[in-house]
Amino acid sequence: METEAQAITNFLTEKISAYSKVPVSELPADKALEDIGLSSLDIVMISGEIEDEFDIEIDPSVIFDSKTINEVVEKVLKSKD
Amino acid sequence: MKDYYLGLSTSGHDPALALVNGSGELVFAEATERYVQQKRAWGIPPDHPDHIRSLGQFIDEKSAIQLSRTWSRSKGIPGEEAGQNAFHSTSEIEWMYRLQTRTFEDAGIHVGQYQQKETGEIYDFDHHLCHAVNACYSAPVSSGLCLVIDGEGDVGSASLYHLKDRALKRIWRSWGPGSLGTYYSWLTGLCDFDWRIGEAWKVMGLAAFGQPREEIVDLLKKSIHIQSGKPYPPKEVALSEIKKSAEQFMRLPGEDIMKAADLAASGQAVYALWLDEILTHCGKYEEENLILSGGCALNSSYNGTIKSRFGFTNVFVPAAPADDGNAAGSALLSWMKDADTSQIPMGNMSPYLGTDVNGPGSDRKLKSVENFGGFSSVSDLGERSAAQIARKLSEGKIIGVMRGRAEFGPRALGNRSILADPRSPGMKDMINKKVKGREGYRPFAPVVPEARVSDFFDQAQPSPYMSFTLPWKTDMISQVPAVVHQDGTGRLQTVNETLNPWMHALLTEFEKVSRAPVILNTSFNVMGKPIVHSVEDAMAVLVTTGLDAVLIDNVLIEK
Repeated sequence: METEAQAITNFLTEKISAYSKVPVSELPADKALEDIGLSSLDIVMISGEIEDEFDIEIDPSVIFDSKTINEVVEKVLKSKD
Repeated sequence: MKDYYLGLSTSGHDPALALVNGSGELVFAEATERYVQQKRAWGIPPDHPDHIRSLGQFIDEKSAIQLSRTWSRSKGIPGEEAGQNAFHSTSEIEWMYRLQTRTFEDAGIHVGQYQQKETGEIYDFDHHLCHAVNACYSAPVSSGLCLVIDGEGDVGSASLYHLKDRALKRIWRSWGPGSLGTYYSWLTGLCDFDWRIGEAWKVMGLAAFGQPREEIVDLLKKSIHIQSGKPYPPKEVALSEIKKSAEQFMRLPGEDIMKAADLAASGQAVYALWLDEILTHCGKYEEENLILSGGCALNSSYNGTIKSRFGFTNVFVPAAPADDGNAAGSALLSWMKDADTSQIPMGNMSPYLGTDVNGPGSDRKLKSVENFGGFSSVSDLGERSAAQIARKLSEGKIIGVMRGRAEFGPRALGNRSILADPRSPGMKDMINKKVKGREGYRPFAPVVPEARVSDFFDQAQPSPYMSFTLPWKTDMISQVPAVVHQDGTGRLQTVNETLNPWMHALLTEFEKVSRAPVILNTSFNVMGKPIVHSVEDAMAVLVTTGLDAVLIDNVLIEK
């Protein structure tokens, strides 16, 4: 059964892939976000999608200040607590 | 708890200050533009050193004050790509972000100097939450939906909240640059009006003279898409391409205003299509009351159509739904934070929250006007003032009225108004020519008794702050032509005896000398200037225009 962390990771990876056009297979959770080539607008829009999907309130800086997908997932999990 | 809670609107435009007392009551609120007499007061601090002295009637050196701002954070400097997905250009965005950042970061420094206060920690609140709380304060209901739509909030341009037992819970907020507010600013620019000084009004007024054209509507509606009630940037085509294509329809400098009429009508029609989508989404929450806030809640043309089409029992718009009003929202949130409550206090709905014309020095000023003004008559009408003014209006006089406390928000609601008889077909042109100096096509507003609104308008509803444009009943159109717009509508103000007893009495007296209790009410200013703030401002309008007289409290000054 998928854990909550896995669900968030999968969701994030799919969204990042959709916005960046980088295949999911090339987006391991420990990949540096700055190497993916997301624009500021991409990050803003993904932030909104996270907020809606997991019914949480997140700060716009969550992704901007994170180095990897894993780090974002940790912050999202914290917001859900 | 502190003695007072001072909210400062820190957007970089429309600065304002608002004061809430220790009981959670909004006791003072005023936009800085009134004090400095500069429209929208771009870049001017909300705690302007002299304006802040206006609070002296409430606070003294012993008062403990809590300051608050109307954003979660400063915006900083935008990236070079900022204009790529936005209606505004990169340079416009940079200019606005710089002003917001400077205003936000400096907010409160004058309070320290001029009120000799330790400012301490400043509370910061989400921009849209400030809009929502300000709106709910003056909405006399305990539950409903509160929709905030503006140019830009902390993360996007729209938020939807549930109001339950006077407490707000956010349902969603939009993220990113899809923005109906900045769309309207861009549209205003396309019509060759200046969005920076709030000329969106001109687009709304002009729309009645044009027809939506299919090719313009089809193009403009691609610029935003609505999904699950939220506005997003265009999906299939770059906004930059849409903006470029739209240039073919723009009005060029020097061209006749009517050249932009179809563009204005098309732009307003597209705005309405999007709002319809958002409100259709809101329908699923099955609430009876809708509370609208944010700058887009000033679109009275659209607002007037909501109640009859979407099944809400009541639609409320606050007196100051734009960023000036956020000063009040922020001050109320500070009070709620310290009172440890999520319940928004309920105000008394009065918009008369600004500077009192009867404040310190008023007698001396009036004496100077009498002694040195060179006017033909200065007389205290006392309790007869409503009857006397009604008679003079019926004789065709155009009179500026400055009574009591100034209105909070963009509308003159009888305390800083120019009044006239709406029965004369030539009155509109007369006021434009002699007093206001504005474009002839723009409409003037009617004021009517709240209890009689259904006698005069279809789709009748209260409109205490001129937030709704409604269709006149057909038989009224010929009776009050000066306040009927091209499309047979009027952006009405309704008054009752509780909120403005003098205006209510004036309407009663006017009915005795005319056939209907309807008076033309336009803001007491000249084109390009904010509404008058001081007696000196009022006298300047009197002597530099064709205004016949000014009533200061009950003292009538006639040429």
